[in-house]
Amino acid sequence: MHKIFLNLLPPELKNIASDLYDIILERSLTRTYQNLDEQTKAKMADIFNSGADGEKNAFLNEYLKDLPAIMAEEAKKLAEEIKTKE
Amino acid sequence: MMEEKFDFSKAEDQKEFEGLPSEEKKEIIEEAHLEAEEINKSRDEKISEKEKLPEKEKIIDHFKTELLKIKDIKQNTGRQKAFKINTCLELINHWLPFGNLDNFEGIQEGLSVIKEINHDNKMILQAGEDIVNEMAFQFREWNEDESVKIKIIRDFINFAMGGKKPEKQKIKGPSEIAPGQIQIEKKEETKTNIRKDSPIKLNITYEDIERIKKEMKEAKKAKADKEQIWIIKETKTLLSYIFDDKRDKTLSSVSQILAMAGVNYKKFQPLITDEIESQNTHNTTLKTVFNIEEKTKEERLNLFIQEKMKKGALPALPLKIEFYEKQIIEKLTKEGLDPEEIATLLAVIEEYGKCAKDEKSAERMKKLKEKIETIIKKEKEEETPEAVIQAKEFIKGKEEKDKKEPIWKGVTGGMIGFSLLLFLILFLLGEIKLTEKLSGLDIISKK
Repeated sequence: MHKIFLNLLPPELKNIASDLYDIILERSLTRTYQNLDEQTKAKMADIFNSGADGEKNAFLNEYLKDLPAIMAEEAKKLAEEIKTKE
Repeated sequence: MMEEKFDFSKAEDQKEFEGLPSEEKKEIIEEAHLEAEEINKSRDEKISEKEKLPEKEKIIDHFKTELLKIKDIKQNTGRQKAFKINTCLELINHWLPFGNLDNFEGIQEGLSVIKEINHDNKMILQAGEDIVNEMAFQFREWNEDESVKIKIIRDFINFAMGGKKPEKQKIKGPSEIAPGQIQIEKKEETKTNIRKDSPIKLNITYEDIERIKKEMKEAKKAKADKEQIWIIKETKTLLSYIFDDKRDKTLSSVSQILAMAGVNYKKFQPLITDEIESQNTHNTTLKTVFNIEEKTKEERLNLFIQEKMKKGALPALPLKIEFYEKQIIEKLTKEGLDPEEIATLLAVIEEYGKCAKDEKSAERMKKLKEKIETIIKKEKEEETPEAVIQAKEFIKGKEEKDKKEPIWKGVTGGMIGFSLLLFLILFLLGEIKLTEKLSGLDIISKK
């Protein structure tokens, strides 16, 4: 996370934001992953398990182009979830 | 609307109505009902139209309504005047972070209200300086042509601080005058209120000032007569005129902020920087602007953030959080935020960080944390595909390797992850501080 940005936050807020960010990232990746066909799923597992950084970047650029939009949606959903949770 | 056939407040009309056949009476009553329904419908439509206004219009509408209320405050006594001024200053303060939405017109109107009541230059100058600085801070998010925005800034400076003095009255910079000598070339129509018969010479030196200061001290000791007290006042005015020109300082500050915001100096120099009257301040400002332009984007961004924190206006109400949340989410789904926009938001967040430290907020924070921990715990219990975990670690690891780079740069070329974090922080802070809604912003009714 961005250094300047994080330094501005109170530590407690920083940790919560970091955890929430983690959830959003994981949920978004899972959602994208579930939309892939079986062959690409296997390719993804292969690349992220033992591939070079270049291959991983290329995979993200090719198959996860929509990830930012999905993350935005997941962020909104999570915010709603927290708001409505008793 | 239909013309009224009967006025039931009049006895003769009532009598006439009573005398009508029952069919006709029934018809009139039905007509009246229909008309009442029409009126109600049109009123409801007006209310829902207001509710449907876009976020931006809602905010402008809200502040304009508040300003109208302030204008209605009586100003017959000193106390009433003070109340009106303070309320108006408070409104300007709240309005400032959103000034760009209506080209700062509403804020200028607010300042006019103060100007009409009080001619205290110091107060107007201070408020003017804050507003002008904020205009520069909001330059990037302000949806208007660059040349128009620059002209608005210049015009506002002239409105709040007066226009540029004619060339002949210009104070020369130290490089143009002999050491130890300060000149004012024209005797009349200067900014000071020196009388024509003033014993103070308008071609004065430091020695003169020192001498006058000494005389002032002596005059005080000797219970100075009227003439001497008058000299003291005149000298003070003169000194403040020579050494403390708010207009120049503001123009210099705005030039630097615009450079930090990444605006090319050629665009603002003629209308802003070149308006600086002191040659020395003009030269120093240009030099600083060039230095800023030579910096990298990130260095400029850092300067911008620091400056914004020192001089910028920061939103302080949840309504504004909602506004920023919306802005971020909109951009998030497109290409990410500009560094300058992020800087503005960072300053907002910093302020909220401070708010979060008070006792009530700490309590809300505790509850919020508990809620989030439950969600995190539940999330961890769910099974995640190995490929997802590894992809997540890769993305996070990339970020760790180079802290200066925002994550997702490789994916989108934008600053998506960063924007998302901003959204989260705003959301959290909104939850902590979320106590007031739009109606709760009613400044006057709070008094």
